[in-house]
Amino acid sequence: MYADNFYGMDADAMIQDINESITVLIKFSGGHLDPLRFKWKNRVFDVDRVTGKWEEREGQFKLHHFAVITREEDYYELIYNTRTMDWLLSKTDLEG
Amino acid sequence: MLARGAHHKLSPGKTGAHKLIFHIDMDAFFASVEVMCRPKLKGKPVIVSGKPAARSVVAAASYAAREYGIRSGMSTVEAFRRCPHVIAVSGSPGQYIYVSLELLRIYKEHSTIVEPYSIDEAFVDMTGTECTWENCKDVAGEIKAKIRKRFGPNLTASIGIGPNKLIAKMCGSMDKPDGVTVIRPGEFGGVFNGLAVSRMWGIGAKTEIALNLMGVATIGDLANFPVAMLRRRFGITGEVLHLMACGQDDTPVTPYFEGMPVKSMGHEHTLPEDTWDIMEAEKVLLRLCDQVARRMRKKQYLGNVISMRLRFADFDSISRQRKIKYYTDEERTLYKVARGLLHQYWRPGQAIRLVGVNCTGLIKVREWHQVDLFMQREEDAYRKLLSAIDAIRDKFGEHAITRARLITHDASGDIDDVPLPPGLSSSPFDMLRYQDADDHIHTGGK
Repeated sequence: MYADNFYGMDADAMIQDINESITVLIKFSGGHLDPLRFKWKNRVFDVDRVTGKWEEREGQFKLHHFAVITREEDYYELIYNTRTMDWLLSKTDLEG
Repeated sequence: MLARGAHHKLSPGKTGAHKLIFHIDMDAFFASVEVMCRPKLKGKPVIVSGKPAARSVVAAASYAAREYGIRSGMSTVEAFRRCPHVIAVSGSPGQYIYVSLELLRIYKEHSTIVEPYSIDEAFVDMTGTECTWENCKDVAGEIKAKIRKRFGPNLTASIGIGPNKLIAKMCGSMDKPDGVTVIRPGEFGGVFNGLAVSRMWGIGAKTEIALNLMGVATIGDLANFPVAMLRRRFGITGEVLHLMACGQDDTPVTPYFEGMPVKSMGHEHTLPEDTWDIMEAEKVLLRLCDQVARRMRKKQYLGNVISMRLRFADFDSISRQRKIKYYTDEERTLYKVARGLLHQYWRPGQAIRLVGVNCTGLIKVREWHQVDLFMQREEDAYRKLLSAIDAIRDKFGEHAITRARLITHDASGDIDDVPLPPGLSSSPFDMLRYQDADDHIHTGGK
């Protein structure tokens, strides 16, 4: 892991690139897809709120990005890849 | 002569006074989107930029960062000098585009005539809708409330309301952030006449100096300056300047679905380090030509004027162009011409900081495509190759296939993924202007 996204003096703002596969519990509703809970390194994180959603194209496939805040008020960025049908934990501001 | 925005289509006598135009400008957009996603950043000095080592510039600064004198366009190094604890975020162009499109949906609920002016600005023509001069502030409040409901309290907009785009744009910046300013027909002079000419939309630094030298300091001075003298000094632009200073603008709000006419397509890239090596510059040029040609084919444009841009280490820039006899959308032709210009105009003693390529004289593919009959067989084979490459990229993404020449190796021997996909370059800055959305994407810093 290395800090890349953020580089300032504020530890709270320090983002670390993770890029590890995760398991995600999701909700499909009204044509939307929302992560509710995910498991990373054998630890379960409950999503408190989704603060951002966006999509990027990779050829004919899509990458669905989700910026989420967990109950512990930590920030995570999750990506769903429609080609591989895998979830990736892309980034977090969690220390350590 | 005029800076961006001064493309007003003006004609004397037509004031557009009966129109009701909103200009909606998101406040510190990129930085605000980052704060929206990471509420911990709220109230902190945040900039969206590249890494200081990469000589990047600030694309957006939060209002807390602005208190330290940090502004968009400033080098990231300078931003850190002014505020050592500023938080620099590398940014997510895809996210900004997504939010921007969602914002357009909100505006469309109020009028079908919505013109995205940039990724964070739009004009909305409210003429003929339920919005009137009497209730326009309430309507602006409704739009703000919808934005707040959809994106939370950290994403705010400043709205300017006027009888034309010029006035709406100019008054939109008078009460930032999160403000609403209304200037009704006939009120322009009273509000703006005393302000410096530089406050007028589209007046750049050079025009301001030229006007100052003529004794024109304020917008009111310009409105009252003899048009004939302005015309003598600035040509046809002089008359436009006069009309603008009088608050006149007939430019229609062009609905997004009508599309903006694409006049050029180009890419620029600031090198990670200055280079004296023309081979290195050639490689960058080849990659840029590949990206430009790919986008031209995707959008079905052909062009016949190819220009090459260089910025040297001392920030001196040159741009040289050549017109070819036929229209093209092939990178080999773009590269051949651009490379020729590079060799002709580079300065061996000076390091190169930025390389750019641009194609103009654009026409739609269906309009005309002259093929050199003697080249037909080779042309067919090459077009098949391009079609195959495009098909692979369509399916697997822009990184999926590239020229061997553009592949480099890092210290460990691993292959670096060299080509930067359009719009997803190493740095999000400068990109993402809807008006030339797919026309110019700059990568790296200035």
